Amino acid sequence: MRAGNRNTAAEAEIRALKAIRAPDVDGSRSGYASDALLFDVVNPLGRTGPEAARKRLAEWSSSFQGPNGYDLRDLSITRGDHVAFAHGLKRVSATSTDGRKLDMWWRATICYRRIDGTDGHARACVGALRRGERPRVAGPRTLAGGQRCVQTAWPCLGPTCVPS
Amino acid sequence: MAVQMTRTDDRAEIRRLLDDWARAARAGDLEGIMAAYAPDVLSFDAIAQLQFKGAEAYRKHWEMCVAMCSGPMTFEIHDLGIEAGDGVAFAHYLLKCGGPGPDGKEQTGWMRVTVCCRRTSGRWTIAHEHFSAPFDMESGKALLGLEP
Repeated sequence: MRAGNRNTAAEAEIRALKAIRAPDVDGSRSGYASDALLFDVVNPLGRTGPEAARKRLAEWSSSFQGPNGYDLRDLSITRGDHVAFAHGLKRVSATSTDGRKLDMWWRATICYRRIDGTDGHARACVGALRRGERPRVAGPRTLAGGQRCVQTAWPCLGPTCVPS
Repeated sequence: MAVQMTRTDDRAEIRRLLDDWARAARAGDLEGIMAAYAPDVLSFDAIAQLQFKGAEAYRKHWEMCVAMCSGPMTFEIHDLGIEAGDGVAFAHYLLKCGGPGPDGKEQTGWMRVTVCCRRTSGRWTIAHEHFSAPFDMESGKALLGLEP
């Protein structure tokens, strides 16, 4: 196990967090692998690639007024030499361009694949990171697959067990 | 003598883990379902609550689901992708799930699933999983009719 991957994952998470608060639409592509798969909160079922991620962020950021409130809780990162994953709960509060208030929790799962052997040398521990703090990381990082999901109160319905 | 597994072996083992899990889910076999999970599994399921912490809490949730889902279930793994490293891996797939409705006609929907695994004591288990369906921002309702 290397410290680098933990911090690589941490940096990608921090960047995603900053991107939601104050979107850097054009910079958003850099963290994604060319074959990144996204399961986002809204349809379609899946999207592929950095450009799809950029377009989605552009749509998202243009649908709200000003900077958004964004908090991350229960972040957990598990990493190996080549693969890592992270999950946590995210709370987003914002006002849409037509004045509707949004305040909701998301569950986020993000999976990482190292595409270069470069090791990281960051020493910051993600558990000690504070909002806006940025661990120093060497080497590229990539999101190979990710999932963001809004929790909705689905009942488990009778014999079909299909959420309504 | 230690045997060095290749990533191909790891992927095959994770594929088996998921196939066994899906077979158990179709059969309502609670022990078979729970055999796939690490004791400290943290799950983001699609229903009931934001997260389930630990196998004991998750077992109770599965117990409820199994009790509600009598009859032949549809639980099919499609478009499976697996990335395996040295003891840490992830997989993602589309799940076609459902079962017969009151009229006996099959009702199914599609979910997106991400599964994160750890290999401990020579065996892969699920340490984290995430089930979801996209939702409609206007109505707040889950969109289960989407096709891949």
